[in-house]
Amino acid sequence: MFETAVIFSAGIACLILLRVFTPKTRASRLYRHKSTGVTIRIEQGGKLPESSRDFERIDSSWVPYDMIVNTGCRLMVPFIQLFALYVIAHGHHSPGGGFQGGVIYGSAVILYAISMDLRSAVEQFGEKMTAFSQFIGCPALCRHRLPVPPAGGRIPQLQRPGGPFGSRSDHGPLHGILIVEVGVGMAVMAVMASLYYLLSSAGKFDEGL
Amino acid sequence: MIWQFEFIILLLVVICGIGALSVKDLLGASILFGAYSFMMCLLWAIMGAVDVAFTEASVGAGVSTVLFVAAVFRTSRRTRD
Repeated sequence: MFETAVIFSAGIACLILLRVFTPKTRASRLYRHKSTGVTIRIEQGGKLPESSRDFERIDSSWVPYDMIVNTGCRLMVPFIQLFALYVIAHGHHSPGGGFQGGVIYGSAVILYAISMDLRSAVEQFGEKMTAFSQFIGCPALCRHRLPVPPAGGRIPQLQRPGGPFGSRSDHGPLHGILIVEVGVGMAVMAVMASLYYLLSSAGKFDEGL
Repeated sequence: MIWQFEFIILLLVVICGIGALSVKDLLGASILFGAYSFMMCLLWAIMGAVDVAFTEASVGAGVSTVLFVAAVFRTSRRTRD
């Protein structure tokens, strides 16, 4: 379970090193008319068509727009997320677990961000949400101090009966392990998404890859 | 496992590693590193460490290549040494 501590500290360090808070003055922005594909540039101080339905904002360094890539990735993303949930849920008795499932879930978020836009991905799974998920998932480390589940009334324990170093046996309190795995998966997913956001937008969370 | 397969995969691992070190284009180096980590994943699956192979396939070949490409996109593409 110490991989969560490592990945959590990596996410926090990347946030501290890379995050910049831009001042209010902004540079020019590019907008695309949706039905015709005409791109307009609005200089600093101009009126922005933010609420208009006909225009969408595009990045200044990544203009190509491809409907096949958009639609294909939008169809693939739910299945990748479902596979990640499968990997998390079946981590006890097959290869996989919270870390791998979290990484797959995070790569689904990254695929969405690459195929659509960085801003639309941040709109779905934003910066506050990533920080919240990291801080929720990390206390899964203190595995013996998890809150007592209301139904069972006993403290979930990660250690199973059996040999040393977590050698597998079929009998064990699986629900406690599942809680820990879900926590690890949430933390890892949030760290992967926020690493990609920070690296691709150079810490500005505005225009990215 | 058939030893010819293992030998070919091991050879590809070495070739991808040397190529990722020696190529001048950083984007090509990150792609070669992704290929290296996928071949390493196959090697681990052959050796019976399925959990390690799973982790390598998801982290090494999946996410870290994307992070490298994002870093190359934000910095320069040519290396100077």
